[in-house]
Amino acid sequence: MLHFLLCPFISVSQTIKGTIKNEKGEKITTASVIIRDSLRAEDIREFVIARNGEYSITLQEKYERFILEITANGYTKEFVAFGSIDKEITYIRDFVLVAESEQIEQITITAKKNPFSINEDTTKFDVQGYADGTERKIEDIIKKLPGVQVNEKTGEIKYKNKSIETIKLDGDDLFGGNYSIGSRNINVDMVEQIQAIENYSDNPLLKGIENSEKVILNLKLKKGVDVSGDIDFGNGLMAGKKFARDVGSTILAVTKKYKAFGSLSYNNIGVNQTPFNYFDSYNYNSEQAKDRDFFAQKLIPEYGFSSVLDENRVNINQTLFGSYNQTFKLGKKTNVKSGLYYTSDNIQSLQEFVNNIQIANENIKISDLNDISKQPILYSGDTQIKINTSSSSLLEYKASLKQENIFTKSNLIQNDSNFFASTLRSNNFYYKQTFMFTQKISERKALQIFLNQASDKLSQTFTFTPAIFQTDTHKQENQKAFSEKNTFQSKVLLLGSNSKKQKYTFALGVNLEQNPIQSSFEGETQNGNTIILQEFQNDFVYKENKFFNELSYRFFIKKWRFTLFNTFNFLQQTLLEQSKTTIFSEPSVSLYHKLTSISSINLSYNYNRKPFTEEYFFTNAIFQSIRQRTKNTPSLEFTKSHISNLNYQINDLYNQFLLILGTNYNITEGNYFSDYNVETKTTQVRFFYLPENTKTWSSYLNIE
Amino acid sequence: MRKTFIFLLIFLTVFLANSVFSQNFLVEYKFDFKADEPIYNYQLLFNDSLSIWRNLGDVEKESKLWDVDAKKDYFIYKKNASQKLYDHCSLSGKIFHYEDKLNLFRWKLISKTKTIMNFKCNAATTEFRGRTYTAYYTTEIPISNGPWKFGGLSGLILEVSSDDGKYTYSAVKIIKNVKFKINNNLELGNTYLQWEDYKKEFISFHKRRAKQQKAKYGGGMSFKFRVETMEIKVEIEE
Repeated sequence: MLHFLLCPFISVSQTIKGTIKNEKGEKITTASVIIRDSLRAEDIREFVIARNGEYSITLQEKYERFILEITANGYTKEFVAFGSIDKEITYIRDFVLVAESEQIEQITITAKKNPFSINEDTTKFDVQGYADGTERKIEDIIKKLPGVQVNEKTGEIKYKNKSIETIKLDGDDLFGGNYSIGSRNINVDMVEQIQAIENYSDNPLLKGIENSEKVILNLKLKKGVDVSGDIDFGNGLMAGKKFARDVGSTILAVTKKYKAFGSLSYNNIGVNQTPFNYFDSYNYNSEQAKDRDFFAQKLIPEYGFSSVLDENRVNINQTLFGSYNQTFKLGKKTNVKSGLYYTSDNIQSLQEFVNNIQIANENIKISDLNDISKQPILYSGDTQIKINTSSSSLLEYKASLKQENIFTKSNLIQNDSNFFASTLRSNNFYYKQTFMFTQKISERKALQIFLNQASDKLSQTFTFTPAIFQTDTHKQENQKAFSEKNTFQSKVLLLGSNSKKQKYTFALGVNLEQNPIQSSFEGETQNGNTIILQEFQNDFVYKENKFFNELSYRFFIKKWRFTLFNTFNFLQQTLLEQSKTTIFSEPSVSLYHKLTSISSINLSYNYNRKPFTEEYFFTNAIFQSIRQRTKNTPSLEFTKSHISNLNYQINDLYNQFLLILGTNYNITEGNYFSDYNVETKTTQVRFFYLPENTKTWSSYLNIE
Repeated sequence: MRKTFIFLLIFLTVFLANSVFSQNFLVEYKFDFKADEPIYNYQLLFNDSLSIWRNLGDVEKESKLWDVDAKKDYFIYKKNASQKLYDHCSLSGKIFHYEDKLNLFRWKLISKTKTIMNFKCNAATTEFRGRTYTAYYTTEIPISNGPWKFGGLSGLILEVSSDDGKYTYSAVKIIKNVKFKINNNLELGNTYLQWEDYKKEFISFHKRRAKQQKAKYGGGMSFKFRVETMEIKVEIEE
């Protein structure tokens, strides 16, 4: 009876024990005894480690049937199936394991490394994980990174569909917006890791206050790189026995306080390693695009080499490029960064168009043989000084200078008999100064003051031999055009944030712009006299004064983010006798929702009004090519645009999958339209304003 | 004389046989503890009877990868015969040797599975000195061992991570049939402290340091001092 009362506390379980030996009868030092549900079961229910050839396992659970498996290092597995076994009997089962065939060679198994890691706002990519050995310059690896898109022409890099601000080297900004100098010239073997940093704040005082969606790339260089450089040679022979050359050398110096990168290259095989693009009529890189508002308009457009084939390897060039970028610390508070660039090129193209037209029984052949060479020379330099005036304030001064001369020669043979030669000389001198002061008022508020001053002087001379307009009296004609833009900007900006859910900004500013424009058309007679044709003279100044207020507000609710932005403008325009004052608002609103950790949806709408730029304001014609002269009926009207966009994005780094699906709907009110008047020798184009509506609807899908 | 000679010959052969022909493994582990430069590489050299765990950063050249110099390298030595593991730590230059049981873990088998480096792995969890860990082990390498002090499952642990996300060991390389040499006896200490005594030494050492720091910098301010390892947590607030 007593025994029965005590029994419930004694677990009545099944026990199996025995010896584990090998074929020689030796005890096996260590083995694992595993219990599984069935032969194919993946799960292990219970186990015990057997030592010195003996095992004993007491089952903790009840099984209808189970498998007992013995594994030991160097021996083949053994297993026995058991049905339900009695509780009070201890089963004895001995095992004899068979040795596996002796393997003496060393075998290595390596795990596939995850080539990236994510830590909050920073995604780190290991260069080795994306390299296959064919890459030379770091841009070749950057192209392969998931989420990254590289524009081959301009060198512009986008991460998760946002343009990057710059490429830093070990945390130092060397290149500014001209980051393609770094991406196109730094060698792959100098870089250990590429980091993509989101929500980047250039100004450390504004971190947490600024509403930043900026993205940058940071290259982590391999340790031990103090000074390294390389020299590349490529030689070959092109058709016509011209030597093909691609020579480049770069030098990189990295120390704690000083970093410099210099490059020098020459090639005539159509490769563009410079941050500039002269192949097209104009194609701004990201650095230039920021300053586009400060540039004077070219009244005579530059030649753009269009091609049915890809630009790469089609142009015939002789590009010489040199750059030097450096950044260094002066004392504890000051950081100086500067860059110097020189590029010269000679892009040539020979184009032949032959049209065979059959009318009735006649065969008419029209042919154009055009031999063009475009020779740009660019000198540019910039410097930036940052001074940490106190622990809560920052002073920045930037200055940049550019002198660009483009000389384009064009020889046209029409129908094998008519010969036209023209040359276009454009000289552009540009400088800009920026002064910026940031003061942190409290933990969550900051004040910034900006001052910008810029001046761009552009002078162009277009020469035609023989004359194209008054062909009887002139032997040569010249079109001259001068356009200038002087800008002064000032803005005071207050930024603040309430905890991490709301951010706001308030700004007051003024923009003063002055654009003097002159043009004249003259002909040289046989006797050497110069005659100025009055009907083609322009001389006026276009002025724009703007006072504005900017307000923005952003807040987060759970996984939703709302952004509201409004600019209130008071704009005064002056052109010739006309003067106009307009008061208007430009609102914009956007909604962002994070669906999952890798996908998001974005809806945005904005309304803006822009006055037209100066190239639509000259009333007397300017000859822009051998066949075309252009004039305008100017209007101080604005173009009004409603722009709305909806997009859905999936960015899955683990599976290297990027998808962007979007649709745009835009309504533009008011634009300049043109009418063509074809005369015997030239065509006259006139631009005029019409308050017409244009509606565009477009969709795009990007999958990588 | 001949008997001794034959005896020595047999002993030598058996000894050599054990050190050369018993299957030796080298497994490299990556250790991630969520700091700025979070990855450290460790090596586990093991066979049926013993194992050595050491930091690859201490090993200088490729050629010495399989050699263990007991006097120079930092390591944890696990010995099956005595069912103990031996570790040592330096506190301000003074070296403390301590020993701990080999069977430190109470594992609970769970039905998760994962494939790591083409090895089918089963999962188990345990609570060890203040933290919960999840381990993935493979019975295809049926030696009960793992990174650091981990072990005691029916196969080699290829990945183990703490549930709070702070510490993760993951195997990145496995080499079978490696030949390794051990220079100098692995049992270096004259006396070995037991784990509990070593823990007391560790805590009191850091408490003394905290007092020194406070005297130097504290002044009248309130002072918080914290040292945390995988097994010990010292928190001082004054």
